Amino acid sequence: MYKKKLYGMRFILPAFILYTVLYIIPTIAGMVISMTDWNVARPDIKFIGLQNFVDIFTSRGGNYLASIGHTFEFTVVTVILKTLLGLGLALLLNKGLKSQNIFRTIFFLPYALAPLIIGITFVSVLKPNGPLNIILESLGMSGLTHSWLTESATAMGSTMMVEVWRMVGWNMMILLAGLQMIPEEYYEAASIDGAGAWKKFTKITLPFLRPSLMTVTVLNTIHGLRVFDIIYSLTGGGPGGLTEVINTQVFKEFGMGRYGMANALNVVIFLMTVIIAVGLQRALSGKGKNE
Amino acid sequence: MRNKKLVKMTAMAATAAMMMTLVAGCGNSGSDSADKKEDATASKGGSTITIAASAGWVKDIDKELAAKYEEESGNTIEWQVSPDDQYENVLNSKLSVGEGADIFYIRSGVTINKYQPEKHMMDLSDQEWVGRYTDWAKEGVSNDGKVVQFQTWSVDGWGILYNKAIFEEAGITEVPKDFASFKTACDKVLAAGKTPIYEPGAAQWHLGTWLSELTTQEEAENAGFYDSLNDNSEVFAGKEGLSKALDQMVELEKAGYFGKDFMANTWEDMVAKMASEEYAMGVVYTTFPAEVEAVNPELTQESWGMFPIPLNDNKEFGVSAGGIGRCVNKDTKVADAVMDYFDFLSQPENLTAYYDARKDLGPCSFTDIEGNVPAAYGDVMDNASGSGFTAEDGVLYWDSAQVGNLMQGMFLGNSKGEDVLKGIDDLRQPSFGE
Repeated sequence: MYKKKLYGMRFILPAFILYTVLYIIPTIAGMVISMTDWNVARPDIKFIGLQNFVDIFTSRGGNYLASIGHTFEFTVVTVILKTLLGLGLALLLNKGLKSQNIFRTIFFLPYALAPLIIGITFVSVLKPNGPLNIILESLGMSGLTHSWLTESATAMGSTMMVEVWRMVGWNMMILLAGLQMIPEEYYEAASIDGAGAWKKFTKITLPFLRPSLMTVTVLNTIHGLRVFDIIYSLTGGGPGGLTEVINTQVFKEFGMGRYGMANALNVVIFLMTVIIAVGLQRALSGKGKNE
Repeated sequence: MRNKKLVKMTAMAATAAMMMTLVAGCGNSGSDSADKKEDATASKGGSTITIAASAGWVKDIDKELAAKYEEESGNTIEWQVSPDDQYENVLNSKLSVGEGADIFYIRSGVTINKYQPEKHMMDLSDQEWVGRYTDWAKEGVSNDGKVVQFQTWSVDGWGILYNKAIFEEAGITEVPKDFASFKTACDKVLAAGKTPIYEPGAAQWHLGTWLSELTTQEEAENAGFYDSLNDNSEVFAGKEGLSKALDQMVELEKAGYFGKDFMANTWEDMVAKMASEEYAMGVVYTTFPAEVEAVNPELTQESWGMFPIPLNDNKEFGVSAGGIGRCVNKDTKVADAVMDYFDFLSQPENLTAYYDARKDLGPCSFTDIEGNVPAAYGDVMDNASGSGFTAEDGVLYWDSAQVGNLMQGMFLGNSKGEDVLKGIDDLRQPSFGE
């Protein structure tokens, strides 16, 4: 009876074919190519097994290990900052503020801009004679001025801050949606029982917000591991490879015509993303504990 | 039961769809080869010639001459222009899958080897215009004894352009001939209240250009160095002259000759900075003064002089292999029309029109056309003991941007000149295969 109400399997066919042709086949093809020495400068393509992966993890032919390290560093820091700041903004703009809709729109706007445009704009903002340093100087904080994108101490941090600025509004929106779902009665009951703001936050808000927090954490992690455009437009991986991440390496390998290695790096980032995203999802949803 | 049947049908349909995609692909290539036979005899009139190029390489004059050719011949020119930073990838991919344009632009010199000339490039040695090439043009467009490019570009190189007025004001009476006299000149410029050198350190490729130029000296002193690098029997590591030159470059930066925060300087600002006369020198090509003059008409070509980069007491002027050339795809179906188009472009009146419009180019690649010889070109050649190909044009798998990336690490204090050379070897090695 109930079965008859379900759509037939044939309804998934168009999506299945499209997904297979546009995603599954290219992914498998990429994995196969990653086990070859395909280089445009050479006419023959040889199967070399896992040699490209060995080269990646021994940094032969490029500073691959450093790029992997930078990718993780970028991911961890930006995930924490984006989530915490997004949560802070969501709590601030949840209710009780007169212009909350205007503020929500303002904070969300950077997400609507193309990362490349943001990158190009921030190159000017972060220049030694750019607006940021001018503001710092006018506030009497000349000691804090830097050539933000070209000094080793500040280059990676600057790219992270730009990414946080770009994505914090998006995090805020998802968490706001989560906050709006929490029934007001719980807070009223807690108030009657004498609970303070901190107790309400830890005992009501956070538990109810858990699905939204899980979503933003997993998606932020995926965004972080796959970062490319912001880094490419801000520093191009420089100075001296200090902001080189896996995807900027992939781009450079493609540029040099080393398709085998470029695909191997792609496979590494793909597997890392899948493993970490699935692991995070299980950990945050508490699935492992319940089972 | 019903579900099993549906799954089976789904699998069959998906398989059929994939097979159809593959068959469609094969069918396409089959019809291509049929077309190829059919069009092999295509000559003037009614043919479409496709041309692939990087956006920055195609100027208005190229389009104007193509339009004139279309009018005269009845053939059609179809441009396939890609953004500069994507062109190489697009070209490589298209050639790999047999979908390359009839004509494709690439750099002359050793870069030709990156595109499998035997497989993808037609031998043009027997064309009439080859006999009119200058020696440097013929050398730059030849590969394995065959001419593989039609080239209307120019030989040029990168040297230190200096502002004569600032030099005079600073009391510099002689052009620096070695590293010691170069440092003395820089000190005098600093004392005169100007910054000695504008170096766009944010442009990694520009940093790499310094070393690309300086490698010319190594080839001049050890003939065959490039050949040995290209057959992988030699490496950069251990070349004391080059590592010394790199360390001296850091010395320049530490002495403040590049100004403050030079790694934030961009190439895009270079014309404006040189035009502002805040800086006395910069590493640029010989036609650069014309670009400065367009911004500041008071600075004419005569306001500038040029000398080879004197690190490690270098006196060689590294030159390109003629810039950018046009290759003919070996698989083209309209070879006769392409040759007809090249014949048209090589006519003296069309070459003259081309070089008249391209003031950014220097000497012409054809002997019977005068072209433009900028004052700085004559000057740097007078100040140099000789000239030869730069690493970018003579060394396989050289990538100035990647080299510049390594050099940035050197300026941050993370490495020395010798480490940069080892890094270049590490970058090149995988391209030679096992």
